[in-house]
Amino acid sequence: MKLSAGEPRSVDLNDLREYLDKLVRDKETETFLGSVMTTKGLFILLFSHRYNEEHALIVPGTDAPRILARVYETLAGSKKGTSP
Amino acid sequence: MIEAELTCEGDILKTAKIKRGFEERPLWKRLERLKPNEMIGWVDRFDSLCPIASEWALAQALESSMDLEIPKRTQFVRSLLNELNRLVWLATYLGQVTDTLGQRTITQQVLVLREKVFVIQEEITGGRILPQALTIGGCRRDFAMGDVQKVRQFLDGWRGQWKAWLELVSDDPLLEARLKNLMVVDASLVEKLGWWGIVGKASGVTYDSRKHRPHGAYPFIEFNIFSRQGGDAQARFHVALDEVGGTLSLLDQLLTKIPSSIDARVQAKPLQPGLFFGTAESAKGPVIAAVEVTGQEVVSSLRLFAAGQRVWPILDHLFQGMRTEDFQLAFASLGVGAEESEI
Repeated sequence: MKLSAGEPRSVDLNDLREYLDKLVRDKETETFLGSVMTTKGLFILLFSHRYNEEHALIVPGTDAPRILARVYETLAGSKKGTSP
Repeated sequence: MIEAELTCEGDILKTAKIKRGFEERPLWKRLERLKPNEMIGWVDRFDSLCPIASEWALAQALESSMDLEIPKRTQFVRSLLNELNRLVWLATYLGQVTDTLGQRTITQQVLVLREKVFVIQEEITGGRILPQALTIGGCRRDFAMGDVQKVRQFLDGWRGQWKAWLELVSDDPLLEARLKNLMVVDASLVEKLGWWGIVGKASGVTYDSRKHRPHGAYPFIEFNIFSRQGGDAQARFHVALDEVGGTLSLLDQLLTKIPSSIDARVQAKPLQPGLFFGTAESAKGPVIAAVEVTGQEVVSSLRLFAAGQRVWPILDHLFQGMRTEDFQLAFASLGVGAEESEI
């Protein structure tokens, strides 16, 4: 079994808001599934019910709380998304 | 048992702060220092009511890194163990709801049923609560000769007692009245939080990784996903009842269709670098494992994701404005009880 996430895309923290906004707008994600710190940065797993697909990204950096705050903010601020 | 600070105004709940215990645990750091097979055994501690799904999700992620193909019989054995283990969570859930309603006898009876699952789980895996049953490429013990028959006998007895229990709670007007319209969780919140499992299914969101991310023997078995539309405690309770029936039927099919020839043991291969995932459906929803492997076969990051982690941070808000006397029942009906220790 493999998730459909595929290779995670690397997204810079400065571009994260714009990137997530677009994903939510295109209904490619609305759900934050979880995150884990990796050697390449913070790995974030998202999910779209519409497409039944996971979406994986890596945000370089070690400041996980700041990155996650940006993710939550963006998902909460978008029309379809929200966050814990 | 839950501990919560409630602020009330008359009969109405103004704020609820549910205490959950420690938010950080050393489980992940501990796991990252172990060998792959040891990791799978230890990850049981992620959630003691859903240990097989936790093991299975992690095993899949690690096997994916090793590019292993799992033999069909092993897939059946894993699925059988998972379905048996789902009964533990479901019986616990039903027990929590009936206990909150003050139905002590009914609660004891469903916990007796749970106890029987623990006993068969121990007989088959050697572990009563934390079975540590899976290994890389297989299971610690394949089903020995006679185990299929043993599980069949267990099912025959269990099904009879379950039927008797079901008659006690089915169409009970008091129970239905208490649960109806209580703590409605709408489908959009379910989707936003990935709050799958019985909560999602009770709100009409039918995501189930056994269907949507087919794993184990599930692609070889026919089964339906149960769902309701109400999204309230009553719908969740009925989905849980349906799920027990569904699991019993799945177990029957798995026992009938399990290949009889024992597979050769799959040999572990070196871990390849990259990010790998696995998922397995527990009764409370899918458990997802994410593993990062770096050079020299080192697992540098490892995490399991489940709905509880996403739901707990917003849980307190859900109770605002409800009748104080409904708090405990509403909480129990969500299935995020104190036993859930996932972090």
